[in-house]
Amino acid sequence: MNCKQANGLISEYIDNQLSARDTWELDRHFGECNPCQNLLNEMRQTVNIVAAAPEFKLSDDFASKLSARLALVQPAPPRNAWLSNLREAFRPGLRPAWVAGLGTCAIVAIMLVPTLMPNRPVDPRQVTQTKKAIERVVQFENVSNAVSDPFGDTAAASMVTTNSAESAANATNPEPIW
Amino acid sequence: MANADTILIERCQANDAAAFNEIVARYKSRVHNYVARMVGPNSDAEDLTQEVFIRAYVNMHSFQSRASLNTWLYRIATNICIDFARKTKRVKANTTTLMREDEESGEEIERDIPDSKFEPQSVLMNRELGDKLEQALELLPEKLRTVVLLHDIEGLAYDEIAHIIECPLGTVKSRLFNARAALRERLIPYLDGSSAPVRLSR
Repeated sequence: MNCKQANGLISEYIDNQLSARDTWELDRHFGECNPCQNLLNEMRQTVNIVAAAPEFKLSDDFASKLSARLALVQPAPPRNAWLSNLREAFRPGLRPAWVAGLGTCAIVAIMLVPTLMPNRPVDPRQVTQTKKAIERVVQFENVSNAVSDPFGDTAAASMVTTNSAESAANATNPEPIW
Repeated sequence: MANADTILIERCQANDAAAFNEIVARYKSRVHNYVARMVGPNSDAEDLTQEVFIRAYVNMHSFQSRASLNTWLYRIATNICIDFARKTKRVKANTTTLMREDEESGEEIERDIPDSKFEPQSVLMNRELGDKLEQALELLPEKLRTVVLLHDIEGLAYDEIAHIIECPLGTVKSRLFNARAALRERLIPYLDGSSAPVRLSR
C-alpha cells in the first residue's frame, strides 16, 4: 500500500470501519512511514478535540416555552401506510440500488429474451415457396455456370484441344522469331 | 434504549402527553447541541430546537417503527437547520452592509472580551482551542459540518447518517474524511503529529 492509498483510508481506519486485511496493511504502512504516522496522529487528535467539544446549555425555561407552543398544535392524523411505505422505498438514499437493480434486469432481459421466444408453427405453403425459390436459384446458377464455363460447351472444348495440340508442336519445333 | 424509545413512541401515538415530555427530556440537550453548532449558538438555536420537537409531535403518526427515534429527530433537525440557513443567507448579506456603515461612522462598538488574567494556563489553552474549534466548524461547508457533527460529536453510525442526509454510504465516508482533513488544517497549531494521540477531557 502506498501513501496516497493509506491517506484515503485514514478516516475509516480511525473509526475501525475497515476490513481486517486493510487494517493490517495500514498498520504495516504506518509502522514504516513516518509522514503517514504523523498524519494519523494529527487526524486522531482532531477527532478527539471535536469529540470533546463542550455542550451548549439550554435555558431553564426551555421546557415551559415548548409546552406552551405544543398546546397550540395537534398531531396530524396518521397517513396511509402504503403511501409512507412507497415514499420510503423511493427515498433518494435508495436510488443507486434502484438504478443497479433495473440495470441488472435490463441485461438479463436482453440475454434471455431470444432464448425464451416461442417457436412459431411452420406454414407448409411457406415451405413450398422456399423450396421453389431455392430451385430457381440452383437453376440460375447452372445456367450461369454453363455460360461462363467453356468446358461445359463442346465446341469450346474442341477449340481448346486444337490449341493445346498446336502449342505442343510449337514447343518441340521452335521457330526462330526473326 | 431503542426498546424504551419504541414504547415511548407507541404511547405518544396513543396521545399520551407525558410520553412526549419524556422524549423531550431525553433528547433536548443532544438536539440543541447539534442545532446550536449548525446555526450558531444564539437564541435562534433554542427556537429551532423547539421547532424540531413541535414538528416531531405533529408528525408523530408518520414515524416509521423501523427507524430509530434518535435518527428521526436528527433528520428533522437537519432539515430545519438547512431551511433556516437558506433563509438567513439573504438576511446576512443585508446585515453585512449595516455593519460596514457602523464601522465607517467611527462609532465605538462594545465587545464582550473575557478577562483571562488570573486563569490557569491549561484552562486558557483549552478555551482558546475551543474557540478555534468552533470557528473551524463554522467555516466548514454545511454538508461537511452536518456529517462531522453527527458522527464525531453526536456519535451516530455511518448508515444512520446516510439515512438522515439521504445519501449513499460512500458519500458519508468521503464527506467525513474531507471535514476532518479541513478541521486538521485549521487546528494544526494545536496538533502534534509526532506524539501519541491525546484524549481531551470534556
